[in-house]
Amino acid sequence: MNRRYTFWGVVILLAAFHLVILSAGFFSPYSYSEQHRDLPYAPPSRIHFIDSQGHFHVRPFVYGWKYDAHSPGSYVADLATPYPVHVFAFGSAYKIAGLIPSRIHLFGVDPPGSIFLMGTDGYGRDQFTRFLYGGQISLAAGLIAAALSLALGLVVGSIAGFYGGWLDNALMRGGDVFMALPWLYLLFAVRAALPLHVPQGQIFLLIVAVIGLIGWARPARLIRGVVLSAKERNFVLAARGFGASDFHLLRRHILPRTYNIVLTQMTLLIPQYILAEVTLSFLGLGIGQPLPSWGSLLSALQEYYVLASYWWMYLPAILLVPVFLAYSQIANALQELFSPVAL
Amino acid sequence: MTTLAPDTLVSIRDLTKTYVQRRAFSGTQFTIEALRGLNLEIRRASTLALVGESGAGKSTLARCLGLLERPSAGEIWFDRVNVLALDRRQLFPVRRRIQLVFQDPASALNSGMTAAEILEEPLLIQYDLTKAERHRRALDLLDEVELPASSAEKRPLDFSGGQRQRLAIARALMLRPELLILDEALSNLDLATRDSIVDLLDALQAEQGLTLVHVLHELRLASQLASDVAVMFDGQIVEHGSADRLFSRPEHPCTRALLRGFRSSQEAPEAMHVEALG
Amino acid sequence: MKFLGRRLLHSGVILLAISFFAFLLLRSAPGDYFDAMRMNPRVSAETVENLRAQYGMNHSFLVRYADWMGSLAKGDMGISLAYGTPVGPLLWPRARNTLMLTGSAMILSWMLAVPLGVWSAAAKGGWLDRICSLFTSTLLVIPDLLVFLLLLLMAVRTGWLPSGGMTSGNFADLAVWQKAGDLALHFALPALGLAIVSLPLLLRHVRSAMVEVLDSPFIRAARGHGIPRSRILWRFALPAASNPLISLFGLSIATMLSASLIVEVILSWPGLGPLIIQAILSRDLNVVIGVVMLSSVFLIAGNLIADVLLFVSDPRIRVE
Repeated sequence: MNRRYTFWGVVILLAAFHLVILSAGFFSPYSYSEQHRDLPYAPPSRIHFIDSQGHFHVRPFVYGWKYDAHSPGSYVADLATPYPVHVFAFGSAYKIAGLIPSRIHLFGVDPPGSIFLMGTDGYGRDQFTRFLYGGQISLAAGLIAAALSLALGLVVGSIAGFYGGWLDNALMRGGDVFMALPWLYLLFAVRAALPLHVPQGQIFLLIVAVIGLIGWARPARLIRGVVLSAKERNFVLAARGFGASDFHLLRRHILPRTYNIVLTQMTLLIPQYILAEVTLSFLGLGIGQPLPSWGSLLSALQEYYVLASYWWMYLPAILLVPVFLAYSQIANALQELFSPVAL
Repeated sequence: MTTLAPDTLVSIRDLTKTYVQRRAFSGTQFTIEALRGLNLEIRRASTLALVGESGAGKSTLARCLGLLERPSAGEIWFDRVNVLALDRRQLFPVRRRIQLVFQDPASALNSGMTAAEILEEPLLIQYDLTKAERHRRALDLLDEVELPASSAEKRPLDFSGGQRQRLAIARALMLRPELLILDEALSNLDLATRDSIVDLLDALQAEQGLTLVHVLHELRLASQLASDVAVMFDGQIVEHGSADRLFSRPEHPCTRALLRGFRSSQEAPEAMHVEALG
Repeated sequence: MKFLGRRLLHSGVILLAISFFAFLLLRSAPGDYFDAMRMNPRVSAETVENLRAQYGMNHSFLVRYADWMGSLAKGDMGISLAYGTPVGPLLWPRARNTLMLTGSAMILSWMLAVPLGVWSAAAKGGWLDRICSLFTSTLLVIPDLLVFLLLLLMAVRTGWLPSGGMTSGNFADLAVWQKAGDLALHFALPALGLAIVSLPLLLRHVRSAMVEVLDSPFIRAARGHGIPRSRILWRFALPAASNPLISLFGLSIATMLSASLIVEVILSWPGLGPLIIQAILSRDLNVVIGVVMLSSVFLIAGNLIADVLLFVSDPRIRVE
């Protein structure tokens, strides 16, 4: 009982996270391309309740950053002017769910003050904002690519399992070829076949297609196994006896048996594919500037001085951990739920 | 060309079925001959018991006759049509006339569907009816096999074993078949359930001239259920005649062996019961 | 032997298929190495065309595939346009470096995974088991990328280990034993990184295989006979649990190779990883094909070794 609550708790948290990412425009104080040229690599803003005179404020406030006169290249808080944090602040324009235009942000401070929850990058862009917007691309890439892999796996696996014979042989041997390549090398090989410089709108679709298309073999094999055993079941034979079409057999009797696997594989593939996008973009083969994605946010770390000096640049990678943890918890729970012992 | 007696419903000629198997690892192939040139005639509105030891090929014959499996060679004439010469489309209308009930109702019913959905499925496939009409007929049939109307929304796992078999038989009857094959379908039921199902089948036989084939692995039930008995051994029918004749004057050694088992079971019903379960 | 022959043949066919599809895929790619040259106003279209003809780039696909196969037979695998040399000689030292790295990481992670897995299975529910399972489930959700970056950060911050590359700048001047030491120092970080990211999965599988065996009747019987605990663990249970682990060995090569690609780029280890990225960025497609082929050779060879080991260790297969 307790574990069931934990499971649903994790599912709700994860769904909430996705919702926040989806409404990045509302939750982020800036737009993802807005540059604060005078504040490159500014550390995360600290939220204060007590000012330098020791007075408590109900409304939290932040201080601005100014250059540290003693150590060049670093910042100190400018204690002279506190900037109160406004809730439902008015800021740059965005569209709610990509449709309804709005300028209301969950929080913000009045210019010339600025609030950077996760610091800024080399162009002075708010990392928190870019993390949220980057999440839209990375999560969508993971979700869509996983759906693509599974759809392909479902089609190939059920055709192979259901019709058997030479078709099965050909499809599964094809899968062997795909699985005989280390996954990342395969990903790179397919990436190499596609043009390097692509308009921004297309690159996302391209990356999703590449990641999704190469991952069909394993789900297809699993689904084939289920279809193979399901089609020998007597209720399938009985339906054949009524003259059921192949389509009817697959839809009513066989495919419903694969939902367990599809669901479990989905929760396993999504984080793996998010990571694939992150890896590609990190290495400069995926989503590039100025579009944010979790991978392109991390690619700044390829510079030694960024890696060594600006700890907040790691935050996007560190924030991936709880997301992956949630997905793996769900996958484990599903695997346990669907394991033959439990049935 | 056929010299069928007018009351013959099914005539099986030289039916052969071989399975090709492949050994694990070495991949060498070998064949199993389940049916070897089998001949059998079944009269309209009769009840035939097809008896044989396990491995004799009874279930293969039942599946071939039930149009669930394609024999390797031979002919199956059903109502003066060789059904093996028909293609998939031509076979479609024949299927509603021949139905098979499996031994294990748990595997014969999709556990993800409700009783009503299970009963409606044959109608959905075979006829172009409205959903309400299908549902009405499903409820009628539930009533006919003495399952409460409230069970329409239950799923197979919610039923007892006997109820599940009723449901499976009801589904087979949904299309009003002329030939019903019961592959050990009554063997595992308790006596009360079996008797009520047998009564139902008898009534249908009297009303609609339903032809019944019971596949059994021992003679005990055959004596209660059937007017005709065919004994199967090694993929062939070795003896076929009226139940009375077979019980009084068995000719084939195989029949005699089965008969001995039957007699001893009457003397020691406990022992036989254990064997039947095994 | 017949079994081995069949497996070899199967592997050969798969490699052939991979080479064909890799060739097909990359030859149908838009653009080629000379794209950059075409942009250059000082290079005439004629020059580019001549260069293309020189490298046989305007032949039909099948002719080029046949040429490539012929070149493969010589060990060349075509010409790298960026380096202007045959691909083969370019690949071998890179492949050696990748193999050295993944091989030693593999040994390291198995050497850690087997004792830890056996001990935590033996003391199921104990403190060691709990620490191990916490460790594995934590590490499993940390992206490889982050692990490598943090290792690099550590190296940069502390200066204990070199932060990348395979040798120091003054490598040529060092004595032999100093060279070995220098190599080992450069080796430590990427090998450690790879071992860390591959350990959790291995550990989890070793543990579950051992738990299953330790529950089996023959181990209980052995306990009943009073055979010492450590002997039961190492001499009875571990060999009995070896079959799934051997299969796991074959599978772990794939993950190891993929992880190696990332670690090589981040820690600038001169293996196949940086080479394929460079080749993709400069559209040096013969090199891409070569690297892809080599990586699949590694994986297939690893699986073949696993199959042979399984064949040797499992009498049930041998009898067949």
